[in-house]
Amino acid sequence: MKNQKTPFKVPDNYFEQLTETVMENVKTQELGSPKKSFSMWAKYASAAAVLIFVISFAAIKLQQEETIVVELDTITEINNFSPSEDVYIEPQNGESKEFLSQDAIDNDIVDWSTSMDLDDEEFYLLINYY
Amino acid sequence: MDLQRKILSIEQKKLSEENNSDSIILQNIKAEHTKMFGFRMLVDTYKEQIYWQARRNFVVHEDADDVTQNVFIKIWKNIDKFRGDAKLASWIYRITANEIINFVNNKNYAHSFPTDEIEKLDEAFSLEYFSGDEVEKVFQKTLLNLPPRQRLVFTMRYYDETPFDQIAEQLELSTGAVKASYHHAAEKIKKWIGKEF
Repeated sequence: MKNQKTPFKVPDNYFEQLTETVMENVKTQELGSPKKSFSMWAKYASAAAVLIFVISFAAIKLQQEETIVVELDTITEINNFSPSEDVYIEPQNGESKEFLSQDAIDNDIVDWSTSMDLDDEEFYLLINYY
Repeated sequence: MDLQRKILSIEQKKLSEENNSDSIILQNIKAEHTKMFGFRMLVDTYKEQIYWQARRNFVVHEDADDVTQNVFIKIWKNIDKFRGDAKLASWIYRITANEIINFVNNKNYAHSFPTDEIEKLDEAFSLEYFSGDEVEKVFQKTLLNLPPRQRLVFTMRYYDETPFDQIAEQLELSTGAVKASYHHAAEKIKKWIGKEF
């Protein structure tokens, strides 16, 4: 078969078969449509699952980081503790609130150790190991 | 004067028959129980025009066949969205033109035939698929060197004698741009063929 002006030819019965081929393709498309909608559903479901996983992972990670920050803060506070700072002593029954300096505490320990008649070595052991 | 009137009357009759045929096709497609029947009518009406439009742009039968089938699948998928603002034929040719340009771009057909498919080109000019002489073969190979849109405009005008304003409508271009495109293509072809002979 040859077109009026075109020098090209097509295989025998090409146009007769073309209608059937196209109709077959269309039917395949039609049958494929529900499958396609399922696969779209599956795509959305997996995307949602991945999103939930990522959010949960991020939330857990964030929580862990907060804990570490708290712990680090505590350690930092301990490290930054200066003995020269005043120490607040929780008042006992009837006592008034008072602050003692670290020097005052040290002086009390020295007075106490003197009254106990401890020598330097015993005093050192007491301070460092008890 | 009589002859002009007669030609006009034949053209009007042809147009009216086309519109009638299109409206029957659309009526059938719109009703669920006759949709397949209507679509079969559409395929029978337009298959040759779509195929030849593609074949003139690709030369290779298999490529033209692929594009023709893709065009019909696109028409099937979108026919429910066709509102009838334009003529059915114009809508179909617009889809065909887009599909041809996409195919050209995807297969890197632009400006030359893909070198890895050169065997397909030899086959396209074998006796089984080609009935032209040596000059015709050179002309066809020259067409393959045109940019896709120029090739499309040139083939629509040269083979189908499609009016410039219709080509413009189908390709969504201005009539001026289509005319310029056609004349550029014609000049290039003249120059290239002049070099060959």
